[in-house]
Amino acid sequence: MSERQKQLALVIDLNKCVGCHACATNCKSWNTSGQFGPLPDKAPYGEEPDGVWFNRVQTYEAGTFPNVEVVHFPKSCLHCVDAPCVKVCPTGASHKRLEDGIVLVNYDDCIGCKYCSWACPYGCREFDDIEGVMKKCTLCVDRIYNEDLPIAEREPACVLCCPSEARVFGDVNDPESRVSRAIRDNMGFKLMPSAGTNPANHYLPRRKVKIEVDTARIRVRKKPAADTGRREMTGDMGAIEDFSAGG
Amino acid sequence: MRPDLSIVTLTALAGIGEGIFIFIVAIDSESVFTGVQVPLPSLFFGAFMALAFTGLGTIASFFHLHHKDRGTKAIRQWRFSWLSREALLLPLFMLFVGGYMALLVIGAPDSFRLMAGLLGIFFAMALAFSSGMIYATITFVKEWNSAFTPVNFFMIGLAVGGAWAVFVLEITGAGNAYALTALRFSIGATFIAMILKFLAYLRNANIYSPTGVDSAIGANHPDVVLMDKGACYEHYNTKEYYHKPFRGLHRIVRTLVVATLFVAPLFLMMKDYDSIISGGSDTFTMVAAVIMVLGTFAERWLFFAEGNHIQNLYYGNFINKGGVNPILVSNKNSAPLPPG
Ligand code: SF4
Ligand code: SF4
Ligand code: SF4
Repeated sequence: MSERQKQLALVIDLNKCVGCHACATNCKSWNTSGQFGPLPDKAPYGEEPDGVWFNRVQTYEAGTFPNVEVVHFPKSCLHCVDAPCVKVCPTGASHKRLEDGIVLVNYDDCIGCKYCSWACPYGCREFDDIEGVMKKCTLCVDRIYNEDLPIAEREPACVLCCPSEARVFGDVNDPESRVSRAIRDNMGFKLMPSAGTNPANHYLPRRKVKIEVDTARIRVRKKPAADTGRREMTGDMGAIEDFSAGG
Repeated sequence: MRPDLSIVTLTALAGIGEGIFIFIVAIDSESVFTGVQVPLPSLFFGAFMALAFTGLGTIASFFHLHHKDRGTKAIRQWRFSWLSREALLLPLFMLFVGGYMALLVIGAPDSFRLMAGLLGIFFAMALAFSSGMIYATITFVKEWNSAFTPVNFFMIGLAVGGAWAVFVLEITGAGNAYALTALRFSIGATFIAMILKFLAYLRNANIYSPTGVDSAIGANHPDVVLMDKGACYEHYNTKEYYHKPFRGLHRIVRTLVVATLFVAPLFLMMKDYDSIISGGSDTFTMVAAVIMVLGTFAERWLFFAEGNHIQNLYYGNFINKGGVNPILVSNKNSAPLPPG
């Protein structure tokens, strides 16, 4: 049997993402100060802030009022297996690494023609007009193999900081990896499957989650809730249900 | 897509340069075979115009590249990338045009010159094809992703190049016989270019969305709307891929294209055709040649502006033209599924 090709990727759980933008800001912070930095950040406190981000979080509403749910949707390069951005690059600056499947741009070769960004259906590449080269998510290649970092921190910045643990990192071609299990157990899917890009990153869908609560264990606070402005928890709230339309 | 002036200029001017050269070499070959030699200065000046147009286009293209210093690296991936092939073919084409001019100057035998000219034509056609394929192979801009793209690029270049060839032949005093032949072919080329461009516009008016925002984010829901773009202001993804068609600007430009690239030039050239036959001159074609350059710029600008990239789905910028996916239509008309 030929050796299985490694393909590192992120799995993003849309059911857990709370839209806090921590991944986006940490990505920006690491990548503007890491080995690949800096990233443009024009007028960050002005009226028209503009800059390069490898990861952005958009928010969508699904359904019509009152039957709506909110979907927070983080998007960074999906490290496609059949990456169209790589095939069009005239210089070979955009490449897909054989050893781990990460799609990278060699900033020393890029001529800044932007052709690769047009070929990406997901809008995952952003142009650095200060350095004149194309940039995108590196899957934190300067963290995951970085021997200066403690082993626990050799993970992408966006994964480490996610407060709801909506992001998982690993080898999607290893059937026993955490990412593969997450995909398998939760009906993980790829974006725009018809685009023929075969993205390595996967998403986990919105789904109904029921948390059974033992009512006997709920303690009702004596102190009136009006002080804190919070709603009082009552004993008849048997189950907390996620308001999910999809799934 | 945001029309980039340097790319508009490159594709428009290089296309015209290719067209002029094809016409000049065609006239040269005809004159060699019929034995009535067209004046060599006319050919030289024609090839010079082809080189000038292509050269100006090339200079413009450098404004698009942010690392001109690494320009030569662009030919590395010629086996895979159409952009790389264009970068390779552009200097090759200019080299052969230059060679053709040099052979004219040194008075080389006709066969040598024609050989250089025919190779130049080959590179001109390969270059036009590569330029078109750069855009035609972008699957995610449906307006571009069609055989019409390289065909339109080539035919429009040929039509405008034809008018310029007539212009050159006239001002260098090559004689009415050759001007008439060139004019006949350039009227034909303009007419064919017009039909093909109309067909392309027709196709693009009825284009359907390849996918919806539901598939883009994977939410199985028919009604997904964007609430937050995730940025305080416009950024690369909302600027590069989107050109706001404000107040029917695109429609106005399309009218301008049809008028200045096809209808008016055809009218002017046909008027000249009559006047040359009756021994007059072809001054109207000169006007046609000039306004066709304007028309080519407008056509190319619109080509880019109307490109509707599917990444716009993520930012609420996707323009749905309302065309219907034929697969969905055929599903609708098919018999309902049996229960169960
Ligand atoms: S998501 Fe876009 S930039 Fe990333 S590998 Fe796929 S096509 Fe290329
Ligand atoms: S912008 Fe750079 S990485 Fe992208 S296609 Fe051009 S040379 Fe390649
Ligand atoms: S993997 Fe690294 S570069 Fe990619 S989105 Fe996460 S933090 Fe940014």
